[in-house]
Amino acid sequence: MKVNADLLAKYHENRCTPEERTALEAWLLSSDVDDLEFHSEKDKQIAKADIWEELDAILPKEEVVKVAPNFASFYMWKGAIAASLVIGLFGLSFYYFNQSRQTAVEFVAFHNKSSLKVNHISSKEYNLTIAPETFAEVNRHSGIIELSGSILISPKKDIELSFDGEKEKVKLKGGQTYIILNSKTGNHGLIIVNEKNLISLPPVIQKKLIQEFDI
Amino acid sequence: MKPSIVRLLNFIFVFFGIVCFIACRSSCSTNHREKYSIHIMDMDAKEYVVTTNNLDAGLLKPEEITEALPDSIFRNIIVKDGFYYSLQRKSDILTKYTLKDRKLFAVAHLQLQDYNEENFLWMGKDSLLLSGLNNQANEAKYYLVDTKGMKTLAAGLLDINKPQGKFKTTSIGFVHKRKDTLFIGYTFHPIIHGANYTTSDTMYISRLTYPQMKRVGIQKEIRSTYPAGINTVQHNEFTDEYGNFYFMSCPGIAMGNRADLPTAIFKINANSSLVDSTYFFNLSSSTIKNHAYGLWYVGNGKAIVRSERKDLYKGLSDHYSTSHFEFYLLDIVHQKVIKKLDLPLDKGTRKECVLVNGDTVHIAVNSTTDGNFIWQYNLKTDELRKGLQLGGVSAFIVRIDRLLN
Repeated sequence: MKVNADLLAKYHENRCTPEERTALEAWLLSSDVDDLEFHSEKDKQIAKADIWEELDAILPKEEVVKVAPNFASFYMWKGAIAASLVIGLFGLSFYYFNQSRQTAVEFVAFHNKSSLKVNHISSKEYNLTIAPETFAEVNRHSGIIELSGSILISPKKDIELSFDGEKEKVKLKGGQTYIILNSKTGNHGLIIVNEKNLISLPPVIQKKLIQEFDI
Repeated sequence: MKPSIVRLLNFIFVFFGIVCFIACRSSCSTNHREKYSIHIMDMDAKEYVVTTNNLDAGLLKPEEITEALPDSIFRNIIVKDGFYYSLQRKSDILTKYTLKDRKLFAVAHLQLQDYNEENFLWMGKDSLLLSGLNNQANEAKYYLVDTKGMKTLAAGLLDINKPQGKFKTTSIGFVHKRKDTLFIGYTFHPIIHGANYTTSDTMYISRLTYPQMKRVGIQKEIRSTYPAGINTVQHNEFTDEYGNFYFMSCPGIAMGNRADLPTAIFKINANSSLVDSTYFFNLSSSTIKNHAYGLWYVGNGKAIVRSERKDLYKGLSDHYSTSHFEFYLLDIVHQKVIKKLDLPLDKGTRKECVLVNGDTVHIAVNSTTDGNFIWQYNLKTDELRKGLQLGGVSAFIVRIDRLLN
């Protein structure tokens, strides 16, 4: 006996003959699965769409946290999910290994795709504000940070950071706030200034940073 | 000698030491009215203001004289007649300070609204014209302030062109007053991605009537871009003895970032309301062969320019920390470079570091190898020598001002 939608409906409405019932129950228990027979291809498509809709309702609207095999990657989206970001963030690993006095950041990655809002990160070692359209990734093995965009970092104690393309490590003092800017396409290289020395930057960049970071 | 006598002598020595120390402290804490104000920054970007009557010799260590300035006061400060005027960036409050016990002490405040400072100009002894932009940097505004009572005399929008099309923000480079006319030089910038900023290839000079602030004319200038700059940080404009107004374009990376265009001096003649099309002192194509930021008039048709050395810095990242700035004496009438002053290379991207006192020009130089000195250049004898030294925590002498006349 071929099991089809009509038969399943009859079974649920308790209208099956004893033969039909036996056959259907055998089919339900059997691991050999035939395709479910639909009245038409259209019905099949409708059922398929329904299943996807149901799944969509269960799944999160946007992907929040993605962990790549080699990195702890942290993807940041719009301000609307800021709360979940913060929770996700604390769950993520920020690894440090202690040197005698200074601390080197082993890896962390973030991406602020918003074109308007900044993201705030607070860790045991520092507070970080990530400007719109900023991406940074820290290599787990080399510890080198690849940065595109601008960040505001306030270390809680002296730290050392290594940036892609820079020979020397950057030493940041605890209790100070630094602006770090980098642009892959620009010709300016990595720019690190104490927030108090913002005036030494070109006025056009100053205005952008003042607006972005509200400093 | 008996131990008890030694103890007594020790006591007397310590006692007199304390008395002398207290006496010195109390005499030091009286309010000296000194002539010059020096603004210093240390390696942690903490700032200090110290005053002196003597720029010619001696040694000052800021940390021994005063305390670091609070974080709300920066070097973009206006100094006049014993007072300091500083606009707090976040609160838009203009504060007037005086010196008390060698520290800045607030005496009055004035609340401004949605205002970022670009330029200042004294219209009279107690009237200060502040020209700037809203926080979006796309609308020009002004405040005319009575600095005696710290009150707004007039305020409003400056009727100059607004950024259009791909240009989103404005930079006001200079505001110059001549009789009843204001000349406002400015340019525009497109939106910035990352650290990639640039400037329109055109500068604009709008003319407004003063004090009505009505638009009467506009001129476009395309021989270079980014006219002058933020003059609370550094001057790039001056008026000579005959009323001719000069301004320098600053298209180098520290300002306009249109390095393809030259750093050049432009002139608006005293008897004309337009930029002189026959005058164009191109510094980038002169023996200087570089971009420059900072231009000061020293009298008799001469000026000093502070120019960068692009072969000595890597980029914007080390532009302020590397010693690479040179000072040149210019003949601005005949558009000629007279000579390079024999000074050590200076560091710090933009500084108000030249002060003229008759025939003497005081030039503050921060050299990595030769220390921080205020040099003296004698315009008559051409003699150049070291004057006051700034020691201790001093890393940059970011401005020298005449505090009292």
